[in-house]
Amino acid sequence: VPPSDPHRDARPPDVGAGAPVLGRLLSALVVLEALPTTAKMAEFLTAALLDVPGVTGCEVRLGPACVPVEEPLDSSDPHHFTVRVETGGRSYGAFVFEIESEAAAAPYRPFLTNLGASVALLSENRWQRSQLERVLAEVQVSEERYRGLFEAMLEGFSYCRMLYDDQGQAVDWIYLAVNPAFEQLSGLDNVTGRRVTEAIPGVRESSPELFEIYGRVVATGVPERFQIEFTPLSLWLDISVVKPADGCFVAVFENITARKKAEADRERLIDELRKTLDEVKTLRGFIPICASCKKIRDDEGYWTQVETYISEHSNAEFSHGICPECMGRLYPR
Amino acid sequence: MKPVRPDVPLGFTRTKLPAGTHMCFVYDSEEERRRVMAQYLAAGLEIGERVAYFADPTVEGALDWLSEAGVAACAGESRQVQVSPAESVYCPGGRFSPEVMFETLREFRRESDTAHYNGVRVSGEMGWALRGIPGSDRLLEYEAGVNYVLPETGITAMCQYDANIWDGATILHILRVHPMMVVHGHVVQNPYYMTPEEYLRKYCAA
Repeated sequence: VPPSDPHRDARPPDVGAGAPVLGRLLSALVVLEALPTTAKMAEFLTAALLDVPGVTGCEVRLGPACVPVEEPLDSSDPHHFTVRVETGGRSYGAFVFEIESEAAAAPYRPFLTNLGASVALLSENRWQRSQLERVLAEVQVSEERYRGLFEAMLEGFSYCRMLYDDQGQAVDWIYLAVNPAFEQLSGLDNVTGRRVTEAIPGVRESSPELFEIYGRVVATGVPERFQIEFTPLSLWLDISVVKPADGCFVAVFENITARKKAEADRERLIDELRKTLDEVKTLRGFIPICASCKKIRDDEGYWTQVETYISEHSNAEFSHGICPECMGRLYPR
Repeated sequence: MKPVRPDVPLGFTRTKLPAGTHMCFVYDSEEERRRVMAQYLAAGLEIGERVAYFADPTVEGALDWLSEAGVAACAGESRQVQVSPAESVYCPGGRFSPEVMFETLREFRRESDTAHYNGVRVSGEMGWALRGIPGSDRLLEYEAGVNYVLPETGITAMCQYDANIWDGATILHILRVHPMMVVHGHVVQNPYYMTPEEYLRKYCAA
């Protein structure tokens, strides 16, 4: 540059950025990937960026996504410049450099800007990963909660995939998952992964209504609840069935054999009582009686003694005696 | 005369590096660390090197995962694999001295040569240096100086630094004293590296 050039001081020196410095800037990113926190990243960068020629001071501000970072210093200040660490949507901080002169730092500014963008992307990836991990943790908690319910519930639970024949008729199902209560209530072991026709031979012939109902729920998606005497296992079951996914159904059942036996016992007792009551002769309604002799007129119009009438119309029997009043009248002293 | 050292596989890629290479491995995942260490140590065993692993704080956990990785399986039967507590190796007598450690490395090489091993590789977990052990403030001086000792002895070394316990500024210094670094299972030239003279003059001058 000729000494007479009036723009001499305004033009950057005709030197490029040094390869070792650029190598360090490029490698910074892979080191940052191994640092687990933004605080450690900021510590590393604060020290590492001081190696850039012309940089006399450096402050690296990094924070979590969406946290507003303090507005960097005035860009018109010739001894400072700022590289924002931001993606299209979020700010993750800034590098604030104190520089010897604009000219000294100029060759490195584009690379420092690139580093800022890369750190922003790294920060965004970490933020997204932390969000994903949080969601996964919530899903895991939820899964554990439902797993606990699944394991502890008193009702039998089976998750099954329906199988159809060529005509589209539900002819079998595979147990995909069952809970401990299923095995306890049904007495069936190790059914997961097996077909019901394999686990309970002859079930299609003995309980065709099960296939019909389950098939209907899988076809329509409309839940159903019913009671069935499941003869292959000699059980009465109260079953609720829902469709959780295409081609699948969940059956939750309760063994109501004892309840059904109690109901049957009660019905039998009621029948017996009814029969007994039928045998009991009762007197009810208006009974025509003679106001004088106290004879009663029967349904056929005959007047009979009161004891005869009552004996014929009830199980009451009479023993005969004389009351004190009549005794006095009949046998006066 | 400077001894000629063979190139040795490090277990990560087919690239070989001269025996006596000094590497640092900065990690934040225990799973990644175990995978890298298993590859590195197994590669040494395969070519008949003697392997020493300095575990911190105790050897029990390390023995478990090294055994699972097939590295320490023969530790009880042969002396080819040696797993020791890092603190007892680096700080005999409860004090860390770079000079003593240099001599320990030289002696280990001599013993290994006498036993006719094809070479020596070591790896140390460096967390002990954060526990305030006397002399541990000379760690970076040691790491710079060992860049003379390793090429001289032909011992290949990988120093492990857990990014979860070391601060970011110190990690930069750690990089400055290791000519090679392990990144995502690759050994790469470390652009932060400064020669021992340069580093000691700039950062360790009294």
